[in-house]
Amino acid sequence: MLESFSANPYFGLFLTFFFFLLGTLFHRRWPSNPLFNPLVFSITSIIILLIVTDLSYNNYNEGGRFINFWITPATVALAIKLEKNFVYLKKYYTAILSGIGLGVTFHTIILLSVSILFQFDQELVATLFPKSITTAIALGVAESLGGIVSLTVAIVVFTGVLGTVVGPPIFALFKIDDPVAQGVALGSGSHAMGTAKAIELGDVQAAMAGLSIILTGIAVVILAPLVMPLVSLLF
Amino acid sequence: MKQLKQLFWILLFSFFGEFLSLISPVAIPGSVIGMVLLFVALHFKWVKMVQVEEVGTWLTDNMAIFFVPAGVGLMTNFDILGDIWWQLLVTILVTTTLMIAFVAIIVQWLKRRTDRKDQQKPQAAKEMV
Repeated sequence: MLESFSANPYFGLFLTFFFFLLGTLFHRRWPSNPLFNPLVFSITSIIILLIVTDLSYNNYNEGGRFINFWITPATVALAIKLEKNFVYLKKYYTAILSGIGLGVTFHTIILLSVSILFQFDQELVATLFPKSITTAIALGVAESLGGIVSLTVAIVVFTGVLGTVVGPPIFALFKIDDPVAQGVALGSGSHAMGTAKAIELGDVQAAMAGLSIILTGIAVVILAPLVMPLVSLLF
Repeated sequence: MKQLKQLFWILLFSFFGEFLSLISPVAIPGSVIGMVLLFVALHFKWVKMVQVEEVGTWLTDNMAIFFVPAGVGLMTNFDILGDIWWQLLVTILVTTTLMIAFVAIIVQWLKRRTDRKDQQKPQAAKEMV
């Protein structure tokens, strides 16, 4: 009976709202515990619940897709924050563009080094390369480089979740208190999920993170054809 | 009614974005195209801020929950991960942490340099007088 009821859209909708709100409650009670980041908490709780009850992801997603649907309009609406904070972009475009350009290059170097260390093959490197950019662009890049597309999706999502967790401690450790720097770092390192975190930190962070999703996406798309020969040479 | 009208504009730009993404030869997500289009429209006042602000801010401020289903989707990839899962985990952890730290440090440093230059400028102007 549970099996057939779980295919009802309200099942997935209820689970998502319930665990997310529960996570928010715990997060307020224990703000420094990363396990109670509402996103991390709700994702892990739902996965565990589905595995334990032996219900399929497809059933959950009957309701889940109605929530997933809102990512696009919410991303579009980031334009509002971008317009309101346009003065920052105008004033600091050199810092923002250099940060992203150097960041994407640095990320590629680190990724290639770690991949050599773990002896990943060419296919896996191509799968990992677009990990810090927004899913839809990452898919295109992974495909053109010959990576495993479905794995790229999972890696991109995981990177996003991770960015929301490690972001604030990194800022505390390196004394990053500048809102522009925080926003650009979250947007370029962990795309729209990082942006969701940036929104919590403030309006300037949100606008800069939204902008960085676009700029990082462009930077990775431009860098991909240049990295490709290097990858086939090294791996 | 006001909220419905605001939602209409945001969905309209989402629709334009998705459509242009479909006919575009390069892989750019519709959401990103839609964001750029709405930004241009707001910037040149083709769409007024008050026409989208309330609903748009509500959407972005609650954005985190929209990613839950995608995150739960990770479970469908558990089988591909097999025995390389911990190496992938380490790789993602190391690269993501280092990238966020690197970008944050570079941007903060360059921005502070711009700020310092700005502070020096008025003084220099005074000296010239």
